[in-house]
Amino acid sequence: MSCRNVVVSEVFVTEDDAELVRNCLNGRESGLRQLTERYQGMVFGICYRMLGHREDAEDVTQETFLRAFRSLHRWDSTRPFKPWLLTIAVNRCRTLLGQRARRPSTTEFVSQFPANPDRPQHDLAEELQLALETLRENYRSCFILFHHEELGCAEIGEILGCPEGTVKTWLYRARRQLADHLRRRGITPHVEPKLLPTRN
Amino acid sequence: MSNRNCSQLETELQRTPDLHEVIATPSLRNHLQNCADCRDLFEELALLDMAVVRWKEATPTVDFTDAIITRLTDGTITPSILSPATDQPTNSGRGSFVALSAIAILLLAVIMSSAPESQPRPVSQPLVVMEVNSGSAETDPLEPSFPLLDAGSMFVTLADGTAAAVHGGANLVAGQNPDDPANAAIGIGESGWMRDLGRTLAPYGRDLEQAASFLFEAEPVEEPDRC
Repeated sequence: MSCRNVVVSEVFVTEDDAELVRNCLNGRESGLRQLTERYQGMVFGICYRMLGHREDAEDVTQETFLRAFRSLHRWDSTRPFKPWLLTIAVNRCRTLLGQRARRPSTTEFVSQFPANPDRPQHDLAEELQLALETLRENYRSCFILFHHEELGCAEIGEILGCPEGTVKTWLYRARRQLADHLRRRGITPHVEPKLLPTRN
Repeated sequence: MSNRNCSQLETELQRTPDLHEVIATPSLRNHLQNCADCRDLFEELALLDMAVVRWKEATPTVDFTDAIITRLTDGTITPSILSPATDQPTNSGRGSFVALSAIAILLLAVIMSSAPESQPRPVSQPLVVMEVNSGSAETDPLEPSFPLLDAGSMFVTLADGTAAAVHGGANLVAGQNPDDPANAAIGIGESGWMRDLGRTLAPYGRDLEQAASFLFEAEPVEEPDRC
């Protein structure tokens, strides 16, 4: 599988989204409800993973939808709805992260120490989340949109406002830094034998 | 260890995050069997992929639908979309400012070009603009009555007049009642400074208009060629 390349105009615009937006603009609550139900998981996932804090993510998710609904008349119906909505979510997260940056963070301090070897394997997810919070914001957004939301590089580029090639570079750097972080934390690689070629 | 193969592996890892696809290439697979550094990197990335699987599973599910609808409809949020939208996206304030400035400059140009020759202002009448330019509230009646020939003062005066024109609107017409405080304040009237300014700056009209256009980022006004 290569980086998920998809053509924006052919794949992302769904007739359903445009129809739901029209319903919203015509004052139908059902349109609001359906749009929220359709995208709230995705928006919350991005916020939760970008912010690393459930309550903040809940607040930002709701704020994202409120902002989007209030600005629906500005949405260009010839463009896909999902990247437009996710751009709002990413920007709201960036704003909150910017506010947080003015306060001292404990994440970077804690991540310098090796992990407890007795911790169960399911904490691998927590270790990854901890590592994510040490990444610079562009890399983090890119990684989350690719791995968590399974978006293609072209679509991520549209959301982050950068070329597809830049997305690939950021994604690779994010992966390298996260892998390095896990190694420094003493997380032992336990890779499926069939994946790795045998050593001669 | 081959440096060429190391860089080839790195290029491939950057092209695709899918490790299965990477080792599907025989040359890279062979390289991984022989290069300890690349193999370590590969193992770390494979571990990362395992972590990603667990990380995705750990994301909680949520339902904010009712909360969002409630906030939209309970009046705490302006439910603009719940009434059919009438407010279309508007141009930015910058665009409006440029348009207003262009109109104001046009009005100024008309005023200056249509001002008839008049008697010079008696030196006993202080100029409002002199207070602006001199930075002093006191005006010496013995000073020359046209201290506006330096370019800086001209632009200050023009900007001042433009701002007044924007706010004054239709009142900015030569010949308005000079006793009207609003007109007196901006120097409009039979003996107002605006008329004097027009007469003084008449030889510089073309250059001044172009400079003003540049100053306010308006489109330059096409002038007929001078004979």
